[in-house]
Amino acid sequence: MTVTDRSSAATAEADTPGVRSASRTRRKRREYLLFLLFIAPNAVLLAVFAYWPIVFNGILSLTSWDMVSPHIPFVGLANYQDMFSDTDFWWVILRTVLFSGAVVIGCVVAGLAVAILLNQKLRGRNVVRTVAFAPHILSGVAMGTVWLFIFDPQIGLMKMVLGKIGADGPAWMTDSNWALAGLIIVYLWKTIGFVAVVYVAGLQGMPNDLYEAAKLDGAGPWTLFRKITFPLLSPVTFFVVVVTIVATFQAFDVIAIMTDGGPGDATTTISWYIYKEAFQALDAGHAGAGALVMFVILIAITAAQARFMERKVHYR
Amino acid sequence: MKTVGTGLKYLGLIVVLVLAAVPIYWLLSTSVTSPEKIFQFQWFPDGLNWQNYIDGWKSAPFGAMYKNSIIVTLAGALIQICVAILSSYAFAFLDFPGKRIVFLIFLGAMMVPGTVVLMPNFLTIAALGWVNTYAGIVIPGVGSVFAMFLLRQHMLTLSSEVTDAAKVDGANHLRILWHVVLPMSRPMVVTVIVVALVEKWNDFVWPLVSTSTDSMRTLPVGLLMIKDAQGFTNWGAVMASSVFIVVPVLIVFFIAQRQIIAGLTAGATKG
Amino acid sequence: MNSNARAALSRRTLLGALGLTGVAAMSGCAGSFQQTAGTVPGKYAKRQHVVFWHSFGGTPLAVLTELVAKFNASQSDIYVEAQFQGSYEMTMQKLATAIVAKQVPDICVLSEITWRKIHLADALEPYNDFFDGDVQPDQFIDQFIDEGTVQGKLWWLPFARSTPIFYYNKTLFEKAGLSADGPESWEQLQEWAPAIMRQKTAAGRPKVLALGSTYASWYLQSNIWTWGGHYSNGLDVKFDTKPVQAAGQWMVDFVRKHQAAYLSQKPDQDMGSGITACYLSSTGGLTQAGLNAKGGHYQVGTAFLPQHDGNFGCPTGGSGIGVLKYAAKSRKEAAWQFLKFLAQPKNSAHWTVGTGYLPVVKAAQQEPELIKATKDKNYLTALKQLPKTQPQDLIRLIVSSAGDTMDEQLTKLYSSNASVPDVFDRLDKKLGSLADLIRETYDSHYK
Repeated sequence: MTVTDRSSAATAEADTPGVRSASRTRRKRREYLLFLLFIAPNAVLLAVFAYWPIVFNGILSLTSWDMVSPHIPFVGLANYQDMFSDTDFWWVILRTVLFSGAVVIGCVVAGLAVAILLNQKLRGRNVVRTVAFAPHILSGVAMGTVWLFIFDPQIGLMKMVLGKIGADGPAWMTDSNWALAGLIIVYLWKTIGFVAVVYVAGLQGMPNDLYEAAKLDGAGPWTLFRKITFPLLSPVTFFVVVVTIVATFQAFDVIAIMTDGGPGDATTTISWYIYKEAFQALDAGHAGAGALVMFVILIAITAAQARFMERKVHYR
Repeated sequence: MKTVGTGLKYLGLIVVLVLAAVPIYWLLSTSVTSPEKIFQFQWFPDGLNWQNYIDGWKSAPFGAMYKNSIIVTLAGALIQICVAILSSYAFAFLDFPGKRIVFLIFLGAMMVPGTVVLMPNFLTIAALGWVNTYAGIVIPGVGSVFAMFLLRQHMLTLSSEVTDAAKVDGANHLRILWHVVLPMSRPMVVTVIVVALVEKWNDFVWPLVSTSTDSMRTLPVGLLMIKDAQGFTNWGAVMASSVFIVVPVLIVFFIAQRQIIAGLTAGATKG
Repeated sequence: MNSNARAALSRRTLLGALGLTGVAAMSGCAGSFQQTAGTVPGKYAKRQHVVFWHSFGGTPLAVLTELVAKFNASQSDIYVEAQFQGSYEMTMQKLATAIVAKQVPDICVLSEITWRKIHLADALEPYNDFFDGDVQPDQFIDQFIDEGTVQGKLWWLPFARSTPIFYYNKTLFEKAGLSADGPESWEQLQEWAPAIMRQKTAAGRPKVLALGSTYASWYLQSNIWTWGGHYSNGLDVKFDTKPVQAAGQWMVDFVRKHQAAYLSQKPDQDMGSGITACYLSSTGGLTQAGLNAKGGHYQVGTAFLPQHDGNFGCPTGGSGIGVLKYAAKSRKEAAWQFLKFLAQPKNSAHWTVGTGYLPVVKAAQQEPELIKATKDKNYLTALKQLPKTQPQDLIRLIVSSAGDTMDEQLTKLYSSNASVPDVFDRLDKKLGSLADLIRETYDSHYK
């Protein structure tokens, strides 16, 4: 993001000094005003619908408002106390991290593998690339419906496929031990193709001379990958990891259509928890507190990663 | 040895293709399976039973839902792009004290996820009297960070001679924006619009929360309602209803796949 | 939660003090309530528009649509528009947010566990002043009127009232050499389990009992009672008591030890395709059960809920209709005309026969349509069981999220290896703190 600023470089007028400076200030002031005017719509929107909600959550988290009654009981930090002393809430966080982690790791590994494959000169690779990318842009609600059918314990495709290799398929969406695994599969399916295409773009920007030099040194393909390709791709990996973490933390549509956070709370991740508290339990306090916790976690993860990457990326 | 390697690579390609495509195939195939056969496993449908589509269409006001989805998607994407263009131009070409910090504050909004703002934004539009209106569905989502960022990065790469020359000509900023910068940024603008269209079309949780009647619901929300109403009793119709949502995106995707892929992956390469 | 530390601020003080101008509007200090948006066909444009939110899908939806159309055709002043809002819970949640947004329907279907929340929020209009010469409270089944009455006022008019009943595959039972009348007790069902699971169906070997993933705590209420326990005594939660845990443990054993029961997202369909031999469901699913049986080529039987130790217990459930206080007077009156129409014995009987919900109007039982339908023994099961039913324990009725919370923990038990005492003890605490939150409001409305 190092781009030079050149908005002020343009104003050069030949005039007498006095007039020049006067007209320059006027001109500058006009430019400032125009700047404000241009950013105003976005500024207002972001202030009202992105920043204000953080504060608003903070306020609501100090209440036990039920969203309907005219009274808002103020409870101080009780909601936070309540949440952090509740093992179920810790499970929600742990589950979210597990879910997110599994999808992120799966996407990076499988996405990179697919990308390397798609980067070969193979016939039909463009078709494969397009089809592999498609799941990423299809409605999560619609595809969640299909996956529900695929996971059906009696007639589902999954059971048939597992049956063919002699395994007995679980009940997936009604088995607490498998429901989250099912969701992970759906999100992997939705995301791997996207990640692969991102990696392909990264691979195509690789400098050839480095490879040639390394090959001359007798490096095998695995060494080449480990020492050159993967390190050079680290900015892409950073992007992929951040985007996937944010997406999985926000996972909602697929959960809503497939499990409603269940069975039990087996697929209740942080975003479902917030929705459930706000719009099902009508508990604005817990919803607000949960939202703030989620926000803090995401900021922390991203900041940690940015630092890690800063230390790691010094190739370019 | 080499042919074995190539063979394996092609095998890999086929595996990727099948894994990605099968659920989509499954959607289409189930949607034309007859109700009697739908609860038995079969690789191929027993003919083309369009009755599911008729049942699906009748099970909810799809006409209204299509209309709503189209309005919300178009309005959302267009307003968002206008907002993004204006602010990206300002950040790229206009001077302002502390501009850098202002820009960082804008970028920071990218870190605020949709789930976090859900309840507060609902209460805000409730206060504005916007619940169950187009304004309520659209406006909270048109503030733009990502599109603005991409456009600004692109504008900074434009040759400075062009814009400088325009300034010396005495053209004002609106004219430069309209006649010089926009035409030169067209590919990026198209990319950003297409991405916005896809996102708004698939958006689920916000329309779910901000609408309360069939006359305002969008397709994804309608699908949840259909699944609740028809449940597992009429799978074929539910699948057909899913197809109604997916097909427009699939069509647009196969037409404009280059822009869509470029747009959705842009953050990685342009960052 | 420490209730002493809670200072009740009014919404206006809290938000207004923070200078949140936009948000202040929701506190009720500005703007008035409006009717929620809808669509009125051109030919009804001049009529009084009544918006009716409901929760009925599948077969009941078809019957309701028919009744609404009939009402609209029967007179020329009122147009009722029925809008589906999802499950009972979703409907209530939408209604709550609609109240926040000041755009409300005129009448709304509310279940036995959701109407009290809206009542406690002072958003319902009592029915007492509506009753006139044509329709009087005593025309409805007394038990249901009692359930909707608080402090001498009726807030909740019975409509789709139901109880759980026991559904089973009669043909399969006969083939297995078991009584075609269904099991008398849970122990008997457990004895029969091996014989049932030995049968062959289209789906292979069937399970004995499908446990639905929704309303698990409604069904289990019966077990809790027959085991001698209660979910709560008033607002005092009893999940940590022996009988409650024993009843839960029995069902968990039936799932894990005997491998006879399992959690399902669609119990009625599972019986249709031969996956299960029995399930518990509302009487409102009777018609659908018949259709499934036809598709699966077997006979469906219904029975009273199984007993335990000679005890019987069955909770009432289902839904009624509430009138929104915030609706304009003219609309409330128009809505009342529609409710009167639904209460006509003929229409009430038609609704009952079409869906399986209990007749809520006494005279409906004399209607030819209903008399004819009760020739089918399955319709009779629900009617005969009705006098033996009672309202659920208070905690599930009065804390609007208690049902969801209990269902979540019960389905967890049915689908994992969690231990009953662990889950129930934590549930006890959670429900206890939810109860604390509403204790004051409850006292002010009910005492």
